Amino acid sequence: MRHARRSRHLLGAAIAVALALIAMSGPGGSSPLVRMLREAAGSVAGGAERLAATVTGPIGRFFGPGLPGAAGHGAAAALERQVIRLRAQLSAAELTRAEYLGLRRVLGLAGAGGYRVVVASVIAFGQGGQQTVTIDAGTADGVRAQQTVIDGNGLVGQVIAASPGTSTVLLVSAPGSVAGVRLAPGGQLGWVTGQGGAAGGGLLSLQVLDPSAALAPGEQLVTAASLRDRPFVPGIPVGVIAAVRGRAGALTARALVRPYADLGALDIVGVVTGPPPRDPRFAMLPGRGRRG
Amino acid sequence: MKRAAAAGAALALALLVQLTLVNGLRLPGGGAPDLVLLTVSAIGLVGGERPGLAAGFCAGLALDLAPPASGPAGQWTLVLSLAGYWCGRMAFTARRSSLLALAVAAVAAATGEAASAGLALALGSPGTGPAALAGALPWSVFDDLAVGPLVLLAAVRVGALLGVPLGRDDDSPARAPADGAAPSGLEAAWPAGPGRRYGWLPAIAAGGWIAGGAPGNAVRPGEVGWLSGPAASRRARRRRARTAAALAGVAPRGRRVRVGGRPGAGWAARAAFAGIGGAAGAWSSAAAPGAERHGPDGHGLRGPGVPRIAFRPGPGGPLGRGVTGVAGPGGGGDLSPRRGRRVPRIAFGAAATSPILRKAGRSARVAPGGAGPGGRRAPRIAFGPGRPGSLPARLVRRCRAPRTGAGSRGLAAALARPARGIGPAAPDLMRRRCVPRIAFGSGRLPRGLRTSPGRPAAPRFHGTSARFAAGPWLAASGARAADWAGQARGHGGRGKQPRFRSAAGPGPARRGSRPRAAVLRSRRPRWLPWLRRPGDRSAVWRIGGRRMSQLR
Repeated sequence: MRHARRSRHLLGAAIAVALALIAMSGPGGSSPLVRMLREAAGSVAGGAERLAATVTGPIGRFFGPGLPGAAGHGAAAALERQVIRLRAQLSAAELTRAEYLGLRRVLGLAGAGGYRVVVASVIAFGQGGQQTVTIDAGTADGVRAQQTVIDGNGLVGQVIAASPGTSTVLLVSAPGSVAGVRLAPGGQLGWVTGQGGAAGGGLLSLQVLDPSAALAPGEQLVTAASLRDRPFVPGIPVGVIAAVRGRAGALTARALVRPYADLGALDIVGVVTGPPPRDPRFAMLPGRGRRG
Repeated sequence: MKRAAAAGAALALALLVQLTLVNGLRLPGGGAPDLVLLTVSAIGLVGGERPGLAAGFCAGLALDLAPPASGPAGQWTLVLSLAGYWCGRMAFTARRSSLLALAVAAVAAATGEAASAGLALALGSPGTGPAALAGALPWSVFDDLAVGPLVLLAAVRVGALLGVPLGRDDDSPARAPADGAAPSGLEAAWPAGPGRRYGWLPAIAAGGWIAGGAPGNAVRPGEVGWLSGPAASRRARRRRARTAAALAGVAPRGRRVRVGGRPGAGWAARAAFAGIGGAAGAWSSAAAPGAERHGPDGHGLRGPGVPRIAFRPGPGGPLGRGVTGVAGPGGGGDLSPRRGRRVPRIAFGAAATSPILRKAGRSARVAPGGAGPGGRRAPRIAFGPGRPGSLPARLVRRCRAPRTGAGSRGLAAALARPARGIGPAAPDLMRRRCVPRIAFGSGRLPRGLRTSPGRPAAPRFHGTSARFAAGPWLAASGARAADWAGQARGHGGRGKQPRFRSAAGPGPARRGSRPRAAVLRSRRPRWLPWLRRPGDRSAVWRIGGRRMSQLR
């Protein structure tokens, strides 16, 4: 029957378009065509997401610390439930106050390091487990690709695409994200790789170049300077070592790092648009000269 | 238009809520329900293939390009297009039961999640990794299964509000016209038919469809699986008939049911010709008590029943307008030639909706059921040559005056008359076409089949031309009427369509040769729609095919 046949042809056309898009997007979606399309879509969909986020944002913030059973056991879970119950009693004004607190902390962290930041809020989250978020600041605000994104606690990720009104941030918890770090006391160099966000345990994987480095839980990490401060400016607190996964004979010392920033409940973030005049080294770590 | 706008709005809403809220939630296991996928599959399930495909494509493009997207573009387009199309394909099937619809949605959700995860892995998207996906995938599927019924219910309700035909039999692929660009849903084919009382609309508006409370739960009698092609073997035919009988709720080997032939194992036992919505005239009173089991929409009555045959008279024909109103199967109604071509139209199903038959039935009290309470007079139809002498003697013999059984004179005469008083438009038609004769009662036609002593056989069609079967391809234009002779010679210009090799041409048919359905291969590529003419093969052509209908 013609109707069904035509539908099949339409399906074939749709699949062809999809395959062509996949073929043209190149490694990691880096082709200029896809970037252009995404930029165009970002200016349209970004505005819609901004509008929608004004509605859904408070709802998401309400559930910010997670639903019962999402994490934790025993006493911690009970406490979490209590927190949720208490949060339920918060009014919208209180939520705005929480926003304000986040903003103050971002600015405080940035001020401690001497960075210039553009403050933005997260308006959309990646689909299908993608560790990406959209923030409501774009090229009009001075945000460019490959800039560092922080929140009030530490490193969040890097900007990978920017449209006039919005930009996309690749979180450090993404498996494709690699950030150079330095260990706090000794300054050993290493790098952290994401493990997929909450589904991956929320931890980052740390590898230190010196195989003989004695890693211990509780050691703190800051970002190491990237070339020309892109994508990561130096000195941002990354996290703290949660467990050491040393393997004898390995080329690198390995550990798991719990990031300072709560990457599953991002709200107010800052994009570092101006690097510090000098490397703050470990000055921004909590408990080291900065008021937490 | 309204439906497209509603679908677009629903998709946009789902997309925004998904991106701004749902993906940011921390749910157990790190998964999140995929509202977009669920909405696409719900649109497919409610709207059909094309709406599902369009929704999937648009939503996929949006997911691929809208801001938080990273990595290779196109994966969501691929997955969501396929999901929407597949759900659309399953739309008609899913209307059988709400559980089936939920199962289809669940399968679409699970497969879509797995496919998108696999595609993201294969394409090396920087935002995702194998460990994270493997950990979150079961939870995402679980969330989808939890949210899916709600989305589907919302889609069904909105669809019912917007007038999407959601009845079990609406938009059936069986009723899609051969050359129609649009499906012949009840809304299109029968905007204000007689006695239109559909119970499904309020039921669905109340959510009855999803809850299984729609009145269309009764099984429709008829041959099962006939769309999949003719049953090649006797065993297959028997199996189909048995399935049909089982679905229709009749005993397959019961006293009054004969199983074995082509469709309709159910009709003999039912003999319920109450007409659709009680709009019938004479036969309403003769309805069997089991008629109510078909549900208030009378869908059960549109199954293959007793064929009804009517000739449309030419302009100025002897019969009035009322004669032309024979409904097609199930009110699909497109069997009528638009011009004054005298082709018999054969319709199975709710006989009483036909004005002509109603008229005739009032005078003659003919009950067309083989075992109906009104009598056991199944019409049997034979076609003979219009003009004696131009066809073999065997056919000529059959072409005498209509053999009328007891009490059926009115109908038989009415049906036979147009063949005599043929208009001036088609003299050569007269030369080639047979005149059908219809006999009711126990009188035997030559070569008629008798299945039992007390019950005459189901009608049998003796075709001497390929065109005695019904179908929109009979709806001839004047040009095609002029081309009739050429087509009858079978010059192969009509694409795949059954042609009866023997006795179809203008030349004298060989005696004793039986017409046999054959499919002409056409050199024209069939998938070019504008090259197709009305008249290509449809689901209806098999009615005349011998392969299909050894026993009717």
